[in-house]
Amino acid sequence: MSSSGLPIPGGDVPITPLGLGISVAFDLASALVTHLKNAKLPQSLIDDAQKVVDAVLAHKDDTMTQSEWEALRGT
Amino acid sequence: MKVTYSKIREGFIALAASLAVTLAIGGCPKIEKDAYLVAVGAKAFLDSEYSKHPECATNPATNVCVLLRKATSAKDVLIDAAEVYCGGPGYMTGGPCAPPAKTDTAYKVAYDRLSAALADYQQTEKDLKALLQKGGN
Repeated sequence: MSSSGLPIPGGDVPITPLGLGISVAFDLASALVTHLKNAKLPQSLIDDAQKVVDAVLAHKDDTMTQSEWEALRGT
Repeated sequence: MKVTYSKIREGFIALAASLAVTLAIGGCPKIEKDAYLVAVGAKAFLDSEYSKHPECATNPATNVCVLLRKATSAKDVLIDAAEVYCGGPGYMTGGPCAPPAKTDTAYKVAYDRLSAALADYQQTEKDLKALLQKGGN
């Protein structure tokens, strides 16, 4: 769990490549999305930012297995 | 909703901050990571557009449906290229992306193919978004 109470995906890696603690980075990302929502920006912009943050948080360990790619096929 | 210049500027600042957070968490992006993020966004975008254009399920020749099918194919070609690039030892059995060694001649071939597939999808998505913005069908 991060200090905001949200789960950290795959979160047993304590330090990111730039030395930023993952819980701090996750809180920062969550705060950013909250800020975007509060700023009443177009929903598509918020969605794009959320997608980027979510995808990177979910794949911070660079796995991206074949089954994950396959899940993105078709419509 | 009226979008003012200051809102747009705030949006760009927020997206730049989002990118900074992304880099802080993930380090410098690798091509397979770029491709994965594009494919995730592509899947969400295309699924959303298909739900707005249910008529495309019957394969009509409207511009939107043709471009939606083209973009879907380009996304799947991107996935093919990523799987070739990542397909080193252990990858087919659930392991992480395992590209060839950079000194291997296969590396450049796989890298260039993935890079081209990425650019091709992005161009197709750009064409589709331009058509949608004009209200084309």
